[in-house]
Amino acid sequence: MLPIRRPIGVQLGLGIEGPAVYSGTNEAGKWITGVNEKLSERSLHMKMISLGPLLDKRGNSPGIKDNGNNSHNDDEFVSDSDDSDSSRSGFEDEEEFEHWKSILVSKMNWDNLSPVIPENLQIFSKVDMDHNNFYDINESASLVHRDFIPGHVLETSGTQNGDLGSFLSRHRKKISTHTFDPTISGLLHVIKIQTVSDLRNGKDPHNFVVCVSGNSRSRLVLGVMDDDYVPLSEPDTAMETKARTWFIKTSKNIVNIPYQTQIKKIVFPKLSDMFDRTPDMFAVITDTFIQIIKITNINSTSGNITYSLSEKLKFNEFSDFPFSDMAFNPWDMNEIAVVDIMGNWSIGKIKKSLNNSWKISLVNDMSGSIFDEEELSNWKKISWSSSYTRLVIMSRSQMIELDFMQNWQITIVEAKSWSTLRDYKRVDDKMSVLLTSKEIIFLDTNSKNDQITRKLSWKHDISLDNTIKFSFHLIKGEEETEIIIFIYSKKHPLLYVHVFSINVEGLLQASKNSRVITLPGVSNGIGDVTFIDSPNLESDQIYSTDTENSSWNTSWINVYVKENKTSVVHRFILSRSRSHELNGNNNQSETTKILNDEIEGEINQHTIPVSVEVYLHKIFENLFDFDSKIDDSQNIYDLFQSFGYKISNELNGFIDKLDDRTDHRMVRKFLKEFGEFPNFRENIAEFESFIKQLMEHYEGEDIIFTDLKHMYKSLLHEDIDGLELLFNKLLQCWEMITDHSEVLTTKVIMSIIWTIISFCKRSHFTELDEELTNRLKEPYKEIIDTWDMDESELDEELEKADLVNNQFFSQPQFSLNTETQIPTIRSSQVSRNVNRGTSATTNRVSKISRSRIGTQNRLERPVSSFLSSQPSTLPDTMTPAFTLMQSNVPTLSQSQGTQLSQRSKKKKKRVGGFG
Amino acid sequence: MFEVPTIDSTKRSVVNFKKLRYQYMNHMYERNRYNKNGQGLPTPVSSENEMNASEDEVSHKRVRKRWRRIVGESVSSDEEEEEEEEDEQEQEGDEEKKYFSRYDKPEDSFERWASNTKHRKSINRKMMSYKKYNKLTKYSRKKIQVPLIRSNRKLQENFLSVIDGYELIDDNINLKENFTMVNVKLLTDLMYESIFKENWKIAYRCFTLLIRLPKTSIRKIWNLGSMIIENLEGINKTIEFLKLFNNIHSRYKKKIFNQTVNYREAPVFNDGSRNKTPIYIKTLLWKEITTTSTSSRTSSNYNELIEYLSELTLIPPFMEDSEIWYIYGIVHLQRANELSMNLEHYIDNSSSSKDIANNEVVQNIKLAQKFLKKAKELSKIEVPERQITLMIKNIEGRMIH
Repeated sequence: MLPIRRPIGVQLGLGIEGPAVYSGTNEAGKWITGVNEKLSERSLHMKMISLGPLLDKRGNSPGIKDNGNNSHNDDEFVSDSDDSDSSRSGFEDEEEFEHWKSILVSKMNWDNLSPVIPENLQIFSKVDMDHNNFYDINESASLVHRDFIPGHVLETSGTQNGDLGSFLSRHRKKISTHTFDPTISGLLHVIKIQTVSDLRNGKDPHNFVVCVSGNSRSRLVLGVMDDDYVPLSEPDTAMETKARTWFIKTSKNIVNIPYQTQIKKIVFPKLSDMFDRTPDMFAVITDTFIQIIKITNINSTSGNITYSLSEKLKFNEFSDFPFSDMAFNPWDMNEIAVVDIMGNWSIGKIKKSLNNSWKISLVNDMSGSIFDEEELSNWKKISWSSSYTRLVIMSRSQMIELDFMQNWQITIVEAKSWSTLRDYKRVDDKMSVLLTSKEIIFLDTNSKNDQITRKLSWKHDISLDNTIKFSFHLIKGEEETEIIIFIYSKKHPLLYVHVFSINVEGLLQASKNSRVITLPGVSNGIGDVTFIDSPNLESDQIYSTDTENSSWNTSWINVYVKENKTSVVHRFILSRSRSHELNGNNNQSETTKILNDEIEGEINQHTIPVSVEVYLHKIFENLFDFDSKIDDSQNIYDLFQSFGYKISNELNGFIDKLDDRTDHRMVRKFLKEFGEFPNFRENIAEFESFIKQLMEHYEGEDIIFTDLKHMYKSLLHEDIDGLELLFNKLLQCWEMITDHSEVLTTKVIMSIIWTIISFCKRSHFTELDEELTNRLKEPYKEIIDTWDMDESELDEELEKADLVNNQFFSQPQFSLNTETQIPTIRSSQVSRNVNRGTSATTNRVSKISRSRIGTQNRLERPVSSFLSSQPSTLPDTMTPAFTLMQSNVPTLSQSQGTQLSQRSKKKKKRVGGFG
Repeated sequence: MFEVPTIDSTKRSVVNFKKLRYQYMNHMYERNRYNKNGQGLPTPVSSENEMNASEDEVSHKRVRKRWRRIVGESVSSDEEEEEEEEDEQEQEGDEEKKYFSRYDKPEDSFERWASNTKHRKSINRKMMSYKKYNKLTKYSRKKIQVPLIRSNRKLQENFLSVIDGYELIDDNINLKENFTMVNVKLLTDLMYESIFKENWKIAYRCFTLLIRLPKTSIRKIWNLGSMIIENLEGINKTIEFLKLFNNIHSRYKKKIFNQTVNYREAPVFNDGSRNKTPIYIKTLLWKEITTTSTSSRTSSNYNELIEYLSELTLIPPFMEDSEIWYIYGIVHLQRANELSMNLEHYIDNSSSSKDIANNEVVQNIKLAQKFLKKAKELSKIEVPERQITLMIKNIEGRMIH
């Protein structure tokens, strides 16, 4: 329809116009462009409404209570620390712990031989043993990332220079968060499954969730989902709509399939539209094998799932490398194509094998390789292209189409320079989408065309992010089909959304503007996004109460999101209406509600802008309320007088009681505890004098108050004399912000000062001091004692100490000198031999192998040993005792010198050679 | 989250990493070629593939040579060129250049897209085995060791895992983290966010701030600017903005896209050359044609447009972009359509004025056909012919006889 430049197609982006066709017939749409204006409006108010988690991190549905307690899985790492707190964390209280401990002790035939039988002992007829996947034995694949090494081993060996320690520290650092395995993706699918019997009986397909759970990503969770209606309200119009959503109702609907190795990918067949059915099988790719799982039956009443597993296709049956991706033939579910991390590909067939099972057998002569020696990433993708015999295989830098019957291949895309291929998905038989690091590209895979062509692209402007992937959702209408593309990253919980449309004539258009949607409650990045595939809009619309307005605006999409790093699957509804809100009084499960609250709380904490202005305003409002209550009729001095009287009255009473008390916690008291400072609309000077008078009065009674000068210093970091100055400084700052600065500052300062001032009785303090010092141990006491000493005293002490020290050290020093004289010579000779030996090896090593780190280590060693031998050789001034030594010492230094220079020369040379 | 419009904002460590990667890939390439040439006898299939490849290479060289001539570098003989290339390869730090000497940098898209089915080869049936792969990487890993131990530890680790097939997550934290960059990053994200939420005023504010900051380039965000202005001030202001932008960056016609230069940025949306009309000009033209309604466009306005188009296409260096020719054609078609609508006013007029009006329509149709044909001759564009012929028929039906 649109004029297309070969081979680029239409290039669009924000604010970029593409080619158009003039169709000057009707006034409204004279031009057909690549931009669909309506789409942008429709998606303006896209919003995610959280419905809580579908699966929690243990792989259970949070709404289900009946299997909550007795399910263990490999999420919980077994701690190796022998901290008593953590070991008894499983018990409810101390008592229970003690109880179990005693039982254990008794079992071990220690002291307590007669077991204590608890009063409430119950005997069960049958006990279900917990199955903890953590203890499963990995049969073939070792999980490098999850090897168990006790913590103390890691800690101790890390500091030593042993081989294990250095290996571990290196290894640990390498698998840090800087890198990720690109072959791991697609760990969550929500898909319609129709078993063979369902198909025969004409039953509708079931919505099925398949995802990977567990810390080592080794558990496959299958679940059948039931529908439910979530009321959505629109506060603006007071209307209520019911959105249809799906979730897992009972635990019976969940099946766990433990794998003993990390699951890298789940692949679903996407059958061609002409079959008008949904698949009943899917494949699981792990590090070592591919296995196909066929759902044989879903009991419609109980929801029980039965399935059968194919024989594993081990990677060594195909090539030497692990599988990276596979695809089902959209026209024949029993044909698959696999590709490994190097780009070797092959066609396979699903066949019945001899012993009544079934397996994948690879077709020998339908294989090849797209190996590119310059491609470093393991990411490979394979998919069927326009026809039965054509495949698309891609790496990060290449996309190759090939026909395995006609025997040709062609590089469709060569992305070596400015962008890399990030993701690819087949939309239907005629269209597929390619995501590069720069653009979203729609590809024409119509079988009428001879090859894949580029149709329309949208520049997404997302900064270089290696973790981006996309999901798409189709909304089929009568006139046109909307294709919503969601781009997500492992790095943040944001969805980049762009809408495209394709009408019945095949005109592909893009929306004018993109959107970014935040996912509430998702804190990590996004691992996978998937949707309930609703065949048409109407099915979601039936329960909408407003029939008039049942347009695009009131539609919603069920979105399921798997968080990165954890196994939590979130449930969302994507609404297009600005005002849609989750109705408060619905019949959601409790956990969901709690979760929602938590989420909101979190958001509030982070989003409310904390600005001084707002706070000040609030403070002022509060003050104003107080202010209004004060009657000004009373004389201000009277007020002060009465307050002062009240305070001193209470204080006197308290101080009298103080002497009786020995409790040290009572030593310090705050003035605030004897009464709030009344709300005088009075100036600072008056307040200050009041405080001063109070302090002076009680000084005679052996009471000390907080030193205000110290306080000013800690507030302002400078020495000031009185409150007046503090007041002025604060006033200066706040004058700019609010009109009522003076009142505000006065009040704030008054209340701060009033709350800060504390007092204590001096005598109490000394008592406490003494008691504390007595409790101290000897060395600490000494330090405390020296605290108050004069300098002269201190010096004396120090001299004494020095004397002792000298005596102590001088003896060994002397013996050291005498002893080392002869061994020094011996040791230098030995070190020379060692040096020669090592230097010879280094020379040989550097010649033969150019190993990088090993060589360097060896290079460093002789240098360091040379340096360390230096101080132990005889000093220059000392004459050697033997004549034999005279000849030896200089040669030693000479040889070392030459070795050094040789070494440096060699090093230089090698550097130059490679630079 | 979004790309920042700055030039030269990558960290030194990222540059070093890139260099290492290119070096490694070059070693891999060399080794692989060595292995291929050293082993294996030529089979009909492999030789056929090689023939194709070599033909490609030769044609590339020829094209490159031609381009150099255009630039003015006098290349007298093939030998000189060979020498030059070898010189380049020997220079240190030109691993990137060395790498790209094997690949064409595309000019009008980010990737190179296959244009026709001629390049089909027979399927590569040789599987990569562990033994072969190990042999290949062993050499390259050895070669890379010296530059690797000279680099810092983090880079070493990252690099080692990258050549093991993993990918970097933090690859894009390659921005310098100084004050300006943080500012630019924030402003960019805010600008995109406001555009998506259609907060045009805030977006405009961000845009104006951004283009005033040092080291930012308006070239990278001209499209956003035009979009913001269009929503804030209307289409006329946008066209003005684009014209201004076009006038400032009009040197593209003299530019040649040089394959041997290591461009930092893809020229796809930012730049143009003699062979590639920059997208901002295309956008300007399309905006001007599609959005101004017929009633508001005066004939002088229209003449201005025609003049500009002819300037692009007919004055040397001639535009060889088929899309411009297509635009040229379709403008005439539009003009013909509008004129034909007005023909009914002339029904009562004298025959001479009727003839003049008729002739004008016919002339426009002729021109349109001519230019569309030209566009097709350049064979890079797929014109919706059915619609255009339908259109012309319509116009002809309106003509008065």
